[in-house]
Parts: sequence; structure tokens; C-alpha cells
Amino acid sequence: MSPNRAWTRRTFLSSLSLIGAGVIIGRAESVQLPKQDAASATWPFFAFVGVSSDAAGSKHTIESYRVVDGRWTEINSLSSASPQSLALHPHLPIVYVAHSTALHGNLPRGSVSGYAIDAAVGELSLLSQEPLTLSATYPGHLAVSADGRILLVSAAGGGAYNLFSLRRDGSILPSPYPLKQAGSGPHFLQSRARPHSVLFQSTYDSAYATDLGADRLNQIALNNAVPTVESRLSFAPGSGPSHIVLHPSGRLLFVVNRLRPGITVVAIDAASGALQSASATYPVDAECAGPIALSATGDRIYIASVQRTGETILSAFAFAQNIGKPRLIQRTSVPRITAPEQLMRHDNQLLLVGAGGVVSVPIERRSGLLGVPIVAVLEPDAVSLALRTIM
Amino acid sequence: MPANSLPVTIDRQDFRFDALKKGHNLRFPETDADAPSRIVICSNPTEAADALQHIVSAGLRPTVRSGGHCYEDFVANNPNGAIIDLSTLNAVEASAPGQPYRIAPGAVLGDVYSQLYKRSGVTIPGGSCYMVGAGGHISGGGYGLLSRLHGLTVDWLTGVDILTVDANGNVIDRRINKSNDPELFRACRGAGGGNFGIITSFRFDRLPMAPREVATASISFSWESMTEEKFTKILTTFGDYWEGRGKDPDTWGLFGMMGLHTLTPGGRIGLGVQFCNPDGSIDDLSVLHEFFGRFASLHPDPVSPEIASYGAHVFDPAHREPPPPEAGGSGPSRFYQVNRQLWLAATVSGGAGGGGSRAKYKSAYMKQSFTPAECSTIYKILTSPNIDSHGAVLSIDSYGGAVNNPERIEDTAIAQRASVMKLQWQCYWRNKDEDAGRLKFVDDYYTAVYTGSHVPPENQGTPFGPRYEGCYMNYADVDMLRYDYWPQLFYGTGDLYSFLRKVKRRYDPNNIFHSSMSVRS
Repeated sequence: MSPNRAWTRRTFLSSLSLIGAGVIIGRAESVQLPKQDAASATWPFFAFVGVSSDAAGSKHTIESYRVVDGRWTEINSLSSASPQSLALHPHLPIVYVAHSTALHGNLPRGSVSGYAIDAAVGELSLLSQEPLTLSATYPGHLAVSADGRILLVSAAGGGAYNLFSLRRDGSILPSPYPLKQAGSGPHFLQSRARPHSVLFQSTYDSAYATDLGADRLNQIALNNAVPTVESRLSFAPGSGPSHIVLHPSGRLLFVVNRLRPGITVVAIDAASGALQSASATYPVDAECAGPIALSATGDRIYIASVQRTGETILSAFAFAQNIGKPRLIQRTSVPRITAPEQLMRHDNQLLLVGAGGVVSVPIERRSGLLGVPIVAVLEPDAVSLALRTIM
Repeated sequence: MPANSLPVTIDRQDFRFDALKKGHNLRFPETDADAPSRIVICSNPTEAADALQHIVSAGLRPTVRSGGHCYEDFVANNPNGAIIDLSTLNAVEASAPGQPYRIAPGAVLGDVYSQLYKRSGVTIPGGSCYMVGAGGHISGGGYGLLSRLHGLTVDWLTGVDILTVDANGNVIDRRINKSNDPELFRACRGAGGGNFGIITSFRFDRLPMAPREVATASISFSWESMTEEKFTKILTTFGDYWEGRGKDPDTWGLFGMMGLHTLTPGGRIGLGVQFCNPDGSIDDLSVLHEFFGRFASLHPDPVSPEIASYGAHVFDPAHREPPPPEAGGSGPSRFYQVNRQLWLAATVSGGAGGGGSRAKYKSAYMKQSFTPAECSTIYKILTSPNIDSHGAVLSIDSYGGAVNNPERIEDTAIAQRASVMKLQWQCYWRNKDEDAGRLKFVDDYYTAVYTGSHVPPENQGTPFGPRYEGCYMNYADVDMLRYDYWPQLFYGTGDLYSFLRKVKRRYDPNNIFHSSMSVRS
């Protein structure tokens, strides 16, 4: 890894792309991808794509799409400051947005918003917006609890998690509770704590959260909506734990180590949800490892990563819970995406979003192997994605 | 206090919590949700270190209180966090041979003056409010009535004991000075509290001798006979003095203050001074008389008992004398009297230190006298029947003298070393439902004064440009955050702010100590 690479705001915060954009654009331009077609059709849904650019005259929007039979049709575009992460309310038609900014109202903090989704046409309208606590800048990820009462945000810039309570109508209550982190690691991106991703675990009324800067995985208890660190695992110095997913069993977490690319499988105590132990870390052959997704049964792990050459790769691993060790079964190139930000599985496809747009990758139902990537959205500055099925 | 004692923790269930969650500015905490979860009373450095470690490890935000006079919400607005209260860490240790003077952060200025004077006959050139805590005051520079004569308090500071939090969240107890952690030490000399750590002791190898006596006097002008022309003349006469004659070293013992209040029936514009000669005596009052003589042609009000003793908290007719005829007139037309007072009495008697109401403050450093446009705007706002200016006070203090040593820009964190006056806008009120109106009034008032051709186009609304040196961090003002050059307003246009950011990244990498105006990491 090059220690002196110039990082843009987005790459610095999301800690994803290690590659100069010029290199990637050159490669991607030469690749002809097939357009989406009906072959990868899924149940109709609305897709919301966050777009955030560092460039002059930058674009900061949430683009709404209607996706029917695999065809993405743009509905509208809504101005929204640096929508780095999107999350849906579990049962209300609301999408929450983490605005990854250094300032809100002239104060050093980011903010979050809730947008109501017009269930008929998919358009968004602002429901509420609230600032994070002081110094909680550049929020990079957020998640909503299964009961729809809590919004948890990780602020990479400020080294803090923020916990918001949500009203019954899904609007965000002001005055979040902060959970300030302190820690560091040997990598130049680890001069201080950098909370990365958050994930709720409804069974234990707690959440799990990675800290890329401090090489930690935290279990955050939510007693009376006040966040506290209930248990914690420290990773090897320089690992940079980032994206996380929960195994369908609820007993395992898969943690992507971004800076020293690999997957760590973490066991969760069945009674308390406490973080028990981490497996050895299974390396991912990449310059840096990015977002992760699981198959419905949890027997396939998919990770997007970036090679030293700048190429984005999707890797598929087989995973058996009784063995506990991921086994690489496939690597496939995703030419259009240069800085993978988010990977999600939707029915029988993976959707990878990042600089370049959104690419759909079909999953072969029985083997879990990946098919040919298909361009769904061309958007140079896409950073986030949320999907809502059309009722 | 034994070093292994336990700090007192006051949580929301404790009956003391409601009293202690607030500082002197009752605007904060703004809501119950903004209040901390606990207040930890620390009476020695060990307790402070233990408390800080516990707070950081628990993921809470620590804010630090010494005297509780923070003008903004930096301490009291701390949702679910913890206030570390150092008001009982308040020892003042006068120098033993070979030992420095030590002032703990919780010591209030009145006690500092009294202790240093009684034990060693020295003082710090600090502020005039008795109950202001040393921790915040000195961290922000420590400026007061003797500063023209002796410089800022931080100009005398030779060492600091400070608790910082390292990259891994561990509390580090540092003893810093020009040799040990010199960059952090420089940053602690004026950048303002709540930026880098918790100071548990200020050390001074030497301090200036306290004056034996001071002379105080004041003049006033009634609003009834005021015109805009006369008002302008009063302000420019005051400002011209500090821009001109006031730069001469023989005048540095003269501190002047003008207070501009709203026009009220029977109200007056007051102008007062405290004076001593550079040797600490008041044997020669010619500087004082010369100063007041400049106002004679403006027809100040005749002396009245209640206004004759600005700064003189002990009224003693035996120690009052009239000015010479050439200065302040004679007989029934004389307009000021000189009060001779022992310095300690003048300094510590009756100085409460304000607080106990809702308030808003702003500031400006001025390198030059007032412009007609500034005077006109102030006059119109204070006299307009259409502007509700109740509770407003504009204090205009003399500045400069020994403060304006440009070499101190390099070894302290105070950049304002060329100004001749320092202005403090104040507004006080009682009820929460007045907040929005009062805050808007002060903001509009201040902005209007710095709008016009006397301010560069790119700096409209702010005291910036050739005539000004920005604002004072100890008169913190979050309104200024709307200007993207706010760090330059408070830390100057040189390399100070970038230096402070570098110190911040090194000594507080996780930004544990932060507020809306703290040095950005």
C-alpha cells in the first residue's frame, strides 16, 4: 500500500478506493458491458442511489429509479448533501440518509435526514433532518433497528457513533446520544478512531459496529436508547475492520478487514450477543477489500475488492458453518465500478454501487456463482443504494 | 487532599445536579437533553486524571469547568457527557525560593490576586472579575487592567501541567514548558480552554510586582444632552488617545474603559480609568490628568458621588482629590475626582464577576480609533425608539502597551499584538422566551457596526481588515462561525491557526476535547 497517496474526501472517509481515478476511467472506458435486460428480472422495486462528488460544481443528489423486470427507469433527482449511506425504515416508507459533511449549520458535525417515499411513484420528500453531535463529522454509515425506534450512525470523521430515537411516524428526534471512540493503529489512516459500519442485532437489543481506525469491533448496547460498549474485540493492528454482515443464524459476524484485506469470522454468544472470539483472518487477494454481502442461506460470501491495478473484483467464497472457514470459489471482474462502496444482495442478484454507477451481477441460484455484470445505472459519483419493493 | 481520594460524581438523580449543571450564563444547557449525565468534582490532579480516563473509556465527551464563566455552550451543553468540575482544585502556591508560583485552574481571580499579593507582593495582569476561574481565563490569554503595563498573563507563563489523551485513549500527565512539549506549551498560552487537554496547574517562574496603590477616576456624559456629533467626538477622543498618546510607555499604567448602554432616562455614558505609574506608584498623576483633559471641551457631567469612583470599590473621601484646573476644571464645574486606593482593595473588593442571567457576548480588537460610521451606527442603535436594545452594554477597553510586543506572537497563542482597544458587546436578559430576540439584536448590532466602507468588502460584518484584529477567544461567539475565515478572526492571519491544528492532531488525535469553536483536528 502506498503511504503517500493523495486521498479525496470520499476515499478518505469511506476508505475504499486506493486507486487513482484516471487509471480506472481509462480501463473502464474500454470495456463494453451489456445493458440490463429482462433475463435478470426480479420483483419490481424502487431504487434510491446516493450521488456525491468532490469535483467543482459537484453533484449531491439522491436519484430515484423504478426497477421493473430488470429495467431501471429514473423517476426524479433530489438535491441532498453528500448522501454517503442510505437505510430503509423496517416498515414505514422512509429512507434515512447520512450526510457525510464536515459542517452542518456552521458547526463541526454531519447530519442525518429522513425522506418519505411516495409509495406510488417512488419520489422522495424531506420528512426531517437533524444534526449529529458536535465533532461527529463525515457520517459514513447508518442503520435502523428492527423495531424502527432507533437510528444508529457512525461518524468516521469525528470518531463517534450517534444514536437517534425515531418517532412513531419515523421522523428523527433531535439530540442524539454520542458514543465517542478513541483508538489508533499503525496504518496512516489509523491516526485516530474511525467508526465505519453499524449493524443491528434485534435479538439482543444491541448493535455491532466496526472501527477502522482503532482496529476494533464493538457490541453496542442500547439500554434506554443510551449507547454503551457492551463487549469489544480487538483486531490485529493495521487490519482496518470495516464492512460487516450478520450470518442468518445470528451467531456469526463476517467482518471485512479493509486495510489488510481479509475476512474475519466472529462468534457471538448465544445468550447475550456478546462478541466471543474472532477466527483467524482469511486473506482476500486485493489491494483493499470493500463491501460484503451474503447469500440468503449464508453459505456464500461475496466481497468486492480493488486490485493494485485498479481493477474491481467480486470474490465469492463458500462457507460452511460447521467448518467455519471461507473458501474462495470464484473471482470475477467488475469493470465499470472503480471505488466499490456498497454491495447488497437482492433476490438472485448482487448490486454493487460505487464510482461508475450501479452494476447488477446475477447469482446462479444453486451454485451461488456469479454471472456476467450488467450495468444498471451509469453514474460517476454513486456512493450509496437503498431498495424498496413496490407494493 | 490526598492524592488517592475519589472524585465526587453528581448524576442526574442527585439534588445538586440542577444547581451544578449550569455555569454563569443561564442559557446553557439549552434543554434537558443537552445537559450532561454527570458532573465530576475533582479536587486534585490525580482525581482529574482518573475521572478523565473513566470518561474517555466510557465513550463520553468530557467538558471542563473551572470558574464556569464560559460565554458559549462549550461546557454546559454536553448531551449525556460529563463535566469535569475543577472549581475545588483551586490552590494558589506562592513561590518558595527556587520554586515557581503555581495557580490551579479552579482558583478564582480574586483569590489569586489576594494570595499572590499577601504571600509575595506579586500579581498576574489578569481580569477584573473576582469570581472568574483561572483555568479558562489564563488559557485564553488572561487580559486585564494591568495588561498595558505588564502584558498578558500568558506572557508570564513558564509551565503548565496538563492531562492529554493519546491516540489509544490513554490519559497522559504532562509537565510542559519551553523545553518539554514546547509546541503544546505555546498552544496553552492563549488558544483557549477545551482544546488540547485539562490543565491542572499553571506555573510562573516570576511575576510582576503588584502596584502599591492605584488611582481611579471617571467621567460621564448624560444622554439628555447627547447628540450624534458629541457622541462621535467622545468615542473618537477616547480612541484617538489609545491610538496615539497611549502608545507611549509612560502611559502604559493607564487603563481606560468606556461603557455604552442603551439610552434611558437619567442614563449616562461612563468612562473610567485605573492608573499607576510604571513603577507601581501614583506619585505622578499627570498622565491621568492629561487623559481626562482631552474630554474637557466635551463638557462631561459635573462630578456626582455615585459615579465618581469607577473601579473604586471602597469609598473613602479622605483619599479623593480634585483634578488640577487645567485638567478637569475646578470648583462646581469640575468633572472628575481622583480616588487613591490601595491596589489590593481596588482589585478584589466587590468584584463579583457577573453571571446569573442569560447573556450573549461578542468582541472586536481595534488597531485604530473609531470611524464616524462606527460611531453613527452605535449611536443610532442605542437611541432608536424602534430598536429594542435593553440589556445591551458595549464595553470599550484600552489595550496595547506591553501587550503589543510582536515577539510574543511567536511564543504564545495570542496573535492580537497591534490593537489599541478591545470591545466587548454584552447583552443580558432573564427569560428564555427572550433568547431569540436578544440574540438577534446583538448580532444585528454588531454586524451593523462592521458593515460599511471602513471594512473590506470581503469582510463585511466582521472586525477584520486594516483597522481591526478580529475577536477574542475568551469572549467566544459562535455567530462568527458563519464566516469561513473565523479561525483568522480569532487566531490572526499568520501561521498560528495552522500551528494549533498541528498541535491538536498530535496531542488530541481523537478530538476528545472539542466544542463548536475548538481548534479543528
